[in-house]
Amino acid sequence: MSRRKMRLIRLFLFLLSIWALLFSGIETADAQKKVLKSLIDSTKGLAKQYKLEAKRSLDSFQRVQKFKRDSIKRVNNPDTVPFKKNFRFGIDLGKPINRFFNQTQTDFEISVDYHAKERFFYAGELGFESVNYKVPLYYNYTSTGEYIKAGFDYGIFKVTKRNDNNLVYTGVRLGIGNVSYKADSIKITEGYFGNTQSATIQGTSRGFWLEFVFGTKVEISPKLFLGWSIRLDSRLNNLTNQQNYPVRIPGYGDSSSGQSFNYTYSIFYSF
Amino acid sequence: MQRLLVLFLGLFGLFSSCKPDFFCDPTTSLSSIQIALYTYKCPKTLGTTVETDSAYSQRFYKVYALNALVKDSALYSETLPTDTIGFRNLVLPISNLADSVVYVFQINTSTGLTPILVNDTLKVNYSKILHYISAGCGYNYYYTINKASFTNHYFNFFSQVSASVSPTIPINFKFYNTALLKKCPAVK
Repeated sequence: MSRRKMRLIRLFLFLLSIWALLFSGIETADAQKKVLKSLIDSTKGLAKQYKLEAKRSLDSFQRVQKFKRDSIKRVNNPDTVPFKKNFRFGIDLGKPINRFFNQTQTDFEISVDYHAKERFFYAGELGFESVNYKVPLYYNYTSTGEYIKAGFDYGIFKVTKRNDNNLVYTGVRLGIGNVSYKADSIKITEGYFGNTQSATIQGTSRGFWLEFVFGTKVEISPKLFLGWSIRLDSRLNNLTNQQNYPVRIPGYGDSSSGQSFNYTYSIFYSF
Repeated sequence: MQRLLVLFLGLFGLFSSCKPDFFCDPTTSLSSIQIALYTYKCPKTLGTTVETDSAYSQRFYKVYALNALVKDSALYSETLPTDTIGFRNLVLPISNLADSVVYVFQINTSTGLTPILVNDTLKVNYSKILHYISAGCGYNYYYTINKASFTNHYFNFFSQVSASVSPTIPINFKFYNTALLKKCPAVK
């Protein structure tokens, strides 16, 4: 039997009791009072029950409305799917390959990123660079150094599918590079006076720069990624104010230029 | 994903072609003392400034530096085919072994066949520092002029515009010849 029918039956019984009270043979005032009191008590109980039921109904209605709103929100603005906080390590393949085309320079770079939030990655690179120029009649130049870059990457697109780990990102790094360098057999010839001056310089330097990154990481098989990035570097300290300075800063490039352009081709493995 | 992979492979070929440039343009590496020749012109108000300088061309009988490899060989000469109307600017080499240089400027003031020479000399004391120019050119000296003196025989006076001597500094000295000055009206 439904609640509505129960309520109608109770209401009918309530009205029947009043009718019986008024038109039955109960004659004493005390007896009438007792009947009335019991009627009022049962009415109060009913009201309390109705109130409780109304509250329950309202709660369930609100829950349904909230679920409805959330569902609409999910359809219109799909949230990123759950992600795993993990590390991804990479090796830049471009640098050793570029060695075949440019034999004056040997460098190596490893990278790491940590997936910290939905679209946010802590990221960094560590590298080594060795340069050996021999320019006949002008000079020989050698330098070795290392660099470290730290910053973050931010995924440009929201990930809307489960197991979609491809990434298009932009990011920022702060870079520091140390270098020790030596230029020898420097020949400076002045034709009119017939002078040929020979000189040697050597020293150590440290460069700082800010790096803006744009790149991709594509999952080619589970946990294995290929990615490229292009990097625009802006030098923070001007080494050319010094009397002598290195030709290149590891990780940055030409030290006499205020801006530098770099790139990476890397293979990554995610743990 | 396939598009990204294609882009990846495409960029690989593009970037792999990057190589350092070892080409050297000597004009970008030379450090020479540069002189511009001026005469006064009648003061003329241009906006808020009063312009008094006027560049002019001068023919030289000979310009040379002492202690050249070939003694007294000409840097500029009216006998050279390069001199047809004279020069407004002179570019003078600096000895990288010494710390001073003397230049001699000979002007023929005669209009006849026999030259009548007036000599001016400029002595410059300088210091030098080694400077990286480019991967192709290597290193060269940048100079700083510490002291300069001029004889003021033909050119009435000179002024030093810049003490730095490097490929990026256009003018170090101005030589003035007021003999060409015409009578000017008074400036209002």
